[in-house]
Amino acid sequence: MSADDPDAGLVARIGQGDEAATRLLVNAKLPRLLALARRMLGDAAEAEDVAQETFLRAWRQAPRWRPGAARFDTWLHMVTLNLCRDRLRRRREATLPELPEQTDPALPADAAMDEAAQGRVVEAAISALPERQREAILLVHYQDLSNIAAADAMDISVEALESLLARGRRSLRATFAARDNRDD
Amino acid sequence: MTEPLTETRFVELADAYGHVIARWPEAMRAQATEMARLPRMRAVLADAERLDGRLDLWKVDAPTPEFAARIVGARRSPLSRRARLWWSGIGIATALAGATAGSVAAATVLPASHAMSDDATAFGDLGQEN
Repeated sequence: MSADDPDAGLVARIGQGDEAATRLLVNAKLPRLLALARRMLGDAAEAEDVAQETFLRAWRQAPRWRPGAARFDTWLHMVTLNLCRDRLRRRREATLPELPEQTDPALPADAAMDEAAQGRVVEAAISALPERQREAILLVHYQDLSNIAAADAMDISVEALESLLARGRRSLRATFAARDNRDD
Repeated sequence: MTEPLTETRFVELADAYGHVIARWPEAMRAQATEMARLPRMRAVLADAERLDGRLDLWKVDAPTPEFAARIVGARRSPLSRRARLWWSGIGIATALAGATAGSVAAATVLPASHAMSDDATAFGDLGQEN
């Protein structure tokens, strides 16, 4: 936990058993952590399991948390990411598809996709990216982590993160462009 | 000393982090904000914004209040699911032993080596995540 960690006080209170602090942390962090797990796993129920497990670890960690290099929020993202990776690895080992089938959603007849359908197109495109590129984009674009926090959560250098982001975004541009040209 | 921001580097940063300069490396933000006034750089940001806008279309459901309450509740409960199962197993074993042997006190059959792990969860023992 760095000296300027905005969650430092809250974590200390949770470590002392303060229930109000517990509620505050859940309200502040759960939506983002659940969203990350949902986007990583493509499955709402599994994402809830991961989010719950992340908080169980946070409750255990809080009393013994010591200032360090990473912020508590980064640590939470790292735990969520690792739990999701474990589940994805188990899926691969079970020779199941890594993600639920990501079909290219069909356009409605009038070619005017509603927002949900467009969201599914984006989901399919991001899910098709290589794992590390996908993680980098989820952490920076959707989780709004700084470059340093995202690199910490992924345990890579900032330069490597930037390269993953650039390659991932280039891929997505190409995917969307190909799709848009096909639809014209 | 902060490295001077070139137009090439500006384009690289927009390619990687998108059009929101607040997401760019902190050391570059002030110079980038200045440079973003140039028409060519504005076009670079506009292009990045189109991709960002598209990515924003992927929305996911927010957690329900019930789920959030369940997580807060898990903090209150000192026993994990696995530990609860373990204890219920002891209860069943004790009942069976009592039925056959007559009277066995549950507390006396609990070995000290089975003290509950702080890291016991539904997914197994979990270590610190640093």
